[in-house]
Amino acid sequence: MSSRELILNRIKDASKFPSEIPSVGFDFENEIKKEIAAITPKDNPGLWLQFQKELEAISGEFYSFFSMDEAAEIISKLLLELKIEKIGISKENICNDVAIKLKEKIASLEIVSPVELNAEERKKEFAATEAAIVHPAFAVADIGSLVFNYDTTGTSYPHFLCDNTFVIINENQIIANQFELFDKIDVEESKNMVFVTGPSRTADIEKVLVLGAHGPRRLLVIKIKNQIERGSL
Amino acid sequence: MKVSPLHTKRHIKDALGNASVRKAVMNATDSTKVSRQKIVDQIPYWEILRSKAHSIKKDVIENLDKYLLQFEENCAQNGITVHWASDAAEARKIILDIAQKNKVKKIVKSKSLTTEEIHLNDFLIENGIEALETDLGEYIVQLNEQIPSHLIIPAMHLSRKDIGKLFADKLGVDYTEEPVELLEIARKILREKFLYADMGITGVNFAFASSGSFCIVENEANAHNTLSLPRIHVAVMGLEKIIPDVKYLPYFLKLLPPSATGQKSSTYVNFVGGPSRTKYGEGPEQVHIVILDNGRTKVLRNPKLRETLFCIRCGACLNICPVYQQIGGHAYGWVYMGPIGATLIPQYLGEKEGKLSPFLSSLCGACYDVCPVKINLPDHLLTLRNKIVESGNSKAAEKAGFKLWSFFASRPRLYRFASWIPAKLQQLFPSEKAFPVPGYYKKRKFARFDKNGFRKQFLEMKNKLK
Repeated sequence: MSSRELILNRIKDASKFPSEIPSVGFDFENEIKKEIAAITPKDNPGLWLQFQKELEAISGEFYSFFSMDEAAEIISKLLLELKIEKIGISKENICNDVAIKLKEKIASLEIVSPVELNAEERKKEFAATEAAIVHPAFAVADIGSLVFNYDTTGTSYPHFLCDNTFVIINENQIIANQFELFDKIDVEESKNMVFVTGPSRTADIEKVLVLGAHGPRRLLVIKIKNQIERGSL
Repeated sequence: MKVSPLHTKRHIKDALGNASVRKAVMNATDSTKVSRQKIVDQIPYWEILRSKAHSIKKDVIENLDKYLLQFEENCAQNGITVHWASDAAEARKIILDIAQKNKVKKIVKSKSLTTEEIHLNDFLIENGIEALETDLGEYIVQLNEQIPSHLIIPAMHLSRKDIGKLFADKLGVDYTEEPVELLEIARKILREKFLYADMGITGVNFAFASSGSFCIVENEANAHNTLSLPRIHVAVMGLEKIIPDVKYLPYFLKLLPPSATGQKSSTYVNFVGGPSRTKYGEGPEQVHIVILDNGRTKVLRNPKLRETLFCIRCGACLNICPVYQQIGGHAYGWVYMGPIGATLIPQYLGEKEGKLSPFLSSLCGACYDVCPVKINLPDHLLTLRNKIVESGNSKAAEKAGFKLWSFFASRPRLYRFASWIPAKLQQLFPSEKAFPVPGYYKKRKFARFDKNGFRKQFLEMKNKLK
């Protein structure tokens, strides 16, 4: 008998003993949804305010701009300040577009894109790159979290291997909470995902919080108001 | 340091005699308790959330075969290879076979209690494969040749000074006790290891039957690096980790981080849906999942105790437990500790080996109050105590003692007289330390009996109320 059969038989055997685990009686789903609705901001600005508050509480940074030009301006300023000469981007057009704007401002800036790099090359390139521009599918207001779907981003390395992450996001990409997220997304198309809530951290030594454990040390979320321009690198 | 539930008494003595361990455990558990409460207070629907999670887990545990088969089928569709391991030895062999078949020499691991349970690291190292823990706390305890002393904070028992000395001794770096600098040392070493590892091994927090995928919750990004950088990913999962649908995950993601670390949300929730290298050019070429029994189906046979399989390994019951706070995790002698460990040890390892574990509790009930999935731990501890006595695994002297006590307790006059004797006897010993109670820890004072006695005080109080 294979272990598979053995384990399944053991489970079947065990189920002969009727469960004595007390039942909670009824389903709380609707009650929970009602409670959540009561404390959820009703409009887009309210949701962004909540997102900002939650993100800043976990050491994330938040900027709100009207256009992509302004976003590029602040990123280029920070890159110069941090003396960063190389920036990684994920596969979406919006990251590409921001990179073009950055190149206009810092001509010597090297852009690393996952396109045309194999897995081993990507690892090495992004590990040697200090900053990245990424674009999530959603921002989740109630916990200050970001949702990345790799099937769209085509890579997770820029976000995890580079020390400083610049997140570019459109104003209309905010949702209230993870319940809404799973109502919204196609689960079949979202099997390779990550939720990111702040920069990486640890408190494993005497519970002292230290940022930048094995992932990014800084996470800067830049919200843009108007539609993103298109371009190519 | 090898620990075992059979040596619990010795481990307790060691822990109580080690002021540094006691201070470290007390500080860490206290601060986590406070942070947990702060977040819980912000979630007005916390209690119904716990009930909802309980009902989801109840459905899973009562229909485990259905969900596991559904999970297996959907994993296959996603290109994930499913392995079934009846016990620890089989799980180790499966993983070694995968490694050898793929000529793996270097493995990085992210924190997984299930792999601790099957003693995977030592086995892989014995077979000539480097197996390195990458969670900072796990890396520290692996360097120190110990097992974790807490489900979530593996090196809770060590001070920054201990860790500084350890790094200086084992890594040959200059001594520092600054957490930022210690992390930086580990980060630099481990970054290289991530980039050149052939295989990554993780645990599983939640697996989704309807989609054949699973997720890993973490803060450091080491789990993400472990599952995305090497060419092979092996996830080891206790068979109870399944939930019917990913749509139920938000309930658990609201409950787990506050209970585990006092955070509203963990920093990363990584979803794995199959080998992604063919899909978008990076990540693993192969994803394997090992579904582990190793005693879980034995737990499942008990109609009441099967509730202990609901556990999501958050560690909240450890932080709140007055016994754990005093003795720390190593005293329990196994990879699961605290109130949940005290219930799992005799169930997994047998009543003989775990005969002391359920007694490591004051039965105050705090663990039940904080459990995010509402496991009735005090009730299960009592059931297990009873089972241990009935199976003949309690001490004959202890049994005789309780028989004697029950003889007196059912005869009030005799009981009153008998309970008066030790109080009088104690007056013969002037020092609080000198009262000769066998087995009582010599470094602790023995409380003096109150001259008035409980009965007298109780009667006075009763009369007052009248």
